[in-house]
Amino acid sequence: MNGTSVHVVSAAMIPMGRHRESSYTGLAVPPVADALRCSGLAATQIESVYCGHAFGGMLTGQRIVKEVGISDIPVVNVDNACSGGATALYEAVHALARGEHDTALVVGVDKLSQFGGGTLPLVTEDWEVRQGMVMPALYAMRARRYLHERDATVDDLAMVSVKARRHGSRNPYAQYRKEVTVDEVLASKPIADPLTLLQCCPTGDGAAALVVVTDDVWERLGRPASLRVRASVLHSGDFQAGFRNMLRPEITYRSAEQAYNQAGLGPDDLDMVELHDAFSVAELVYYEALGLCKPGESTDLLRSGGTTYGGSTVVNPSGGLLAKGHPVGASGAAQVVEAFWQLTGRAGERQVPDARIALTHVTGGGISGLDHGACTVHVFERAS
Amino acid sequence: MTHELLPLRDLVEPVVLSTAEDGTPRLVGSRCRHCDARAFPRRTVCFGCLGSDLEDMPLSTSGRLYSYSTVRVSASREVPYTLGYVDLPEGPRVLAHLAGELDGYTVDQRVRLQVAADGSWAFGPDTEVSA
Ligand SMILES: [Zn+2]
Repeated sequence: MNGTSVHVVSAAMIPMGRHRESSYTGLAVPPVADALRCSGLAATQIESVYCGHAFGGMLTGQRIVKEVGISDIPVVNVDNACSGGATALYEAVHALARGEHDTALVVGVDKLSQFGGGTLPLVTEDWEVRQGMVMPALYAMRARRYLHERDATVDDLAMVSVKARRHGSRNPYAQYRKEVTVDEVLASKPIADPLTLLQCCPTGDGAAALVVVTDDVWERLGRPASLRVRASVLHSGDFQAGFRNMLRPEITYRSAEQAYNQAGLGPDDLDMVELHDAFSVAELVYYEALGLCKPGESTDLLRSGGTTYGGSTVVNPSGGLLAKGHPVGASGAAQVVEAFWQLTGRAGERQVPDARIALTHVTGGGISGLDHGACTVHVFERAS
Repeated sequence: MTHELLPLRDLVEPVVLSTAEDGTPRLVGSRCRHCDARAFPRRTVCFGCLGSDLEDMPLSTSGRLYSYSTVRVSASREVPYTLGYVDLPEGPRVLAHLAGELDGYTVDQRVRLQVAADGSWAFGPDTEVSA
């Protein structure tokens, strides 16, 4: 990265789930207060706020920070669908690297329980959405193509969910903590063939907060255990009116390539990854796009155990979106909370041994002609 | 500037069907006379060059089914329904409803446009051409 190096010095989140009695403010204030407390900074020392959300309505960030003694400073609200929280971090990191501020608070928050349940409401101005497109259908078409082109079966898709639930069972912040079997995954309610309910992320509510500071502030704070940001990348994808290879999502390939260049690191250096497993097939496609294996080898990588504990790179130790949950605007920030806990040795039962380098990846989709409309990739290194 | 800028009237439901000389209905997209960018449904401004010199482009009634899914939970309409991406020889990929039973389809098969009396359209198995 160019400019001053930037650190995440504290991170906090609430357990994901259906928090019917909590507003956006109610969801976000506890992690914001905890992140502030653990940062060693007073609320009055925060110089900027970036709040990612998709469905919070006007002035979501201001509604939150006015409750914790933050006032007068710039508060920027960021919508980038599922990439909202990670885009808020991207904005904060680059503003600090450019020297605009020395400290920032990043919030990711969303409350999907307000919609009752079922599929995410997409923007009906879009042509494909008017034709009946929903997110599970998009991923289901990707899954059917995956089963056609790769040497894979629905059991392999189900294995992604089995792994996610196994990881999530050790995460007190996960919405789903019960382990499942391949048979249970395949026998669960059909959503969009070939995807079943247990291959789809749940709808729920969540909030996560990060305090981000420049290298100078980190030194002044006494060099606390932190994440040094080695890469912070955001892409919006290429519009295509015609053929698109759904197994080669160019937006993630390009984002990953730029992130590795920025970091001066490669996929072999990663100890853990939190990636956008909104649906089972996505994890397999993203193994390839993030370079964890060669294109075409993702089924083998999953089957080999290379992406769970004991493997070369633990993917989604938190349980990922499938088990931890996916309150869309919160997810990108919550992934960084998991990276923070893992790299600072605070992940408890699900600790990845001696984790030093982490990558987080989140997309944001749902409009015609684009694989996804947003993709954010961050790479972090343990610093202390 | 002597002319005023007006918004695109893109919420008016686009005309997607036209009738060929032999009376068969076809989907119609647009082609840019300047840069050849092709799109479905038809548009009034080219996404390739921002020009407005677009012509209607009647599309083939037969295409290749890239992938498909029967949707059983949806926020947007009554379920179940089957959606597929159909790649047409002129270039555009069309998100289409597929008629009939899910079991009737396989990836990469040929599918053909079906238009009902009420003007609703979908793709179904192409019985005239073998893949
Ligand atoms: Zn053009």
